[in-house]
Amino acid sequence: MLGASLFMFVDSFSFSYNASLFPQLTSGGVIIGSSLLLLRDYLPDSLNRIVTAEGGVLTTDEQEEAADTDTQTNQETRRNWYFLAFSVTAYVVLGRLISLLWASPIFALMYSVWHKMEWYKVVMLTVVSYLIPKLLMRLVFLPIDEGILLP
Amino acid sequence: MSVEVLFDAINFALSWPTVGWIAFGLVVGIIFGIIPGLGSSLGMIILLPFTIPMEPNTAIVMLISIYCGAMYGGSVTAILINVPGTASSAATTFDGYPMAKLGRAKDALAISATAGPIGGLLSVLLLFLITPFLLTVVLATGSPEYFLMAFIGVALITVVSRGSMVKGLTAGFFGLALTSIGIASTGEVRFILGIRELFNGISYIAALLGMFAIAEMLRLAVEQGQIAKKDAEVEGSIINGIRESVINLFTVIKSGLIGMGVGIVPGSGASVSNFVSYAEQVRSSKNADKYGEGEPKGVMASEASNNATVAGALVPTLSFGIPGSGATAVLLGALLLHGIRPGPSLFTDELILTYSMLIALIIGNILIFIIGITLINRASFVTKVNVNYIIPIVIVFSIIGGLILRNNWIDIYTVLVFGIVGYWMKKHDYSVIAFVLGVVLGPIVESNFLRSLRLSGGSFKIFVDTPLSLALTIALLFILAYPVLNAIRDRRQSA
Repeated sequence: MLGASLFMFVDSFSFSYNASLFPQLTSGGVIIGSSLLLLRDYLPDSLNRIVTAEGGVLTTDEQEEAADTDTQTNQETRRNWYFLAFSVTAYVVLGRLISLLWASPIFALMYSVWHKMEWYKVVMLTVVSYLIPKLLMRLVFLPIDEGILLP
Repeated sequence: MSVEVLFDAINFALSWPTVGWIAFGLVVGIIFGIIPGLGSSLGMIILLPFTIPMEPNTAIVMLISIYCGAMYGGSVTAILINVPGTASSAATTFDGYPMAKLGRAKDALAISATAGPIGGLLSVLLLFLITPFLLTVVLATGSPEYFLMAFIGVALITVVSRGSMVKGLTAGFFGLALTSIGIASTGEVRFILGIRELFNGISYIAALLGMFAIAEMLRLAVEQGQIAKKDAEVEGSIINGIRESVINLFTVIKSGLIGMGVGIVPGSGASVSNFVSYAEQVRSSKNADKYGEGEPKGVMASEASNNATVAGALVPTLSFGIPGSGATAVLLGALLLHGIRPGPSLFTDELILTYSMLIALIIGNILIFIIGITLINRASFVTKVNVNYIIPIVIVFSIIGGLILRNNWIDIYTVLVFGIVGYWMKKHDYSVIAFVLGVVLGPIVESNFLRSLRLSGGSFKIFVDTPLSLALTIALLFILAYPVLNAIRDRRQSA
């Protein structure tokens, strides 16, 4: 966030006044906020308290208690997370290359095999993931079956 | 109130296929509400791209039905397995689950299916009554006031929502800054880094798809498969539940009014209203110690308020284009996508759309009662739901939805990038809602800001010129100064 905002703030000086004002103000706000957060441990106590102050004006005690539940993450769930992040990225890349029509069932197949689902559930999810783009092609007339390698 | 327009709206909402779309939206909303981790925002955003070929009024009515349905759906798992399907039903677990353990699950589900729609209907009827007065307020606002209100909307969310305020404000500003990408009103091209596809800027719908769908699926990936470890027992009496809701109508009405009031405040929404209403019910009860152990009025308070919040949240969204929650941010996105700008037009030329939404909510709340009561005997199916079946389907819908927006692969990349950004933001306690609001409101904020300066010849005094703009500026400064005031108050208390 800080990097992107610094770039926007500096680059905005190359635009005319009207075009530069809004990006300067908003990216400036991000720069100030991000800097305060990055340096909060080095700020004087009073400023640190302001930076770390929490909202929740309407928060009730019951809401606080309900929110105090931690999601337990273990090695397996972390692996699942990394797999999902990787597979979604691969899905997008594959979709660009061979079309979303064919990439979607491949993604569903990879996902269901990774999670060791029963064979009929794997087949079902794969078929559904093929049918969704196939149906949508007819509904919205989009080139979902086109890719760089499969024009 | 224009009676002729009202009758046109009733005709529209009750005609085919509109009523079919309302029912479809309700069922989708109930399903998304039942399954923990999904919710109304997700249901609305993944279907939003597919509404592009639809008539605007039909699309909006369908989306609002999803919002309405999810409010009820969240209570099912909250009662049966102590896991709220949505944050709007979190307070329902306090007494709903104990009722289920006492063999009164059907009573609790029936209360939810009855008190919820009553609260929802009450708030819609109230909204009908205040709609004519809203136009007067909306017409009093000009470009400076619109700019200030949009900014207040983003800032208020960080104060009202839980979490760090500075992080929330930073996220909101970042969302606003990102909308600068692309061609400006002056014709200059900003920050596209040589990527021609960014000429028209970042699609806020693609950003919403990433933040709500992909980020949520990444979060769900750390959940463990089936949402319940064992079957839920569904015992009790449906008739008792309905009777209790009717006998305790005062509780239901009071909670509905609280829900509507909280819904009007940007940043609060049903995730806050159910707690506020529950807390008020406990506070005002003569038998406060019964709450938390299966007190039916606890379920009534939570469910009546969350359904009523839907109509309340429409007030700032339709009047000023300031959504107060994720779902209303998506609704605002839908309005803009279909070429409908919030503000005076929704109370004049497009009044039929506004009334259609309200009629859809009335029909929706009635259908929720019917569907909810019917589903009770089959409610134990929720324990069979496995998130691993849902994740790939939602992701496929989201990615393809990104392509449908503008047939531009940059939107799919946007979905992916914002999915990871959204997950990272949630993990590090940055307000996703503030960021989303910034992304959705950015163009409106900038255009009103520049228009105001043009009108004043470049002087910033225009933002304090009228009593309304002065009051809004003071309110904005107060909200921005809230962390400082809070810190001073805390220091005095500890001293």
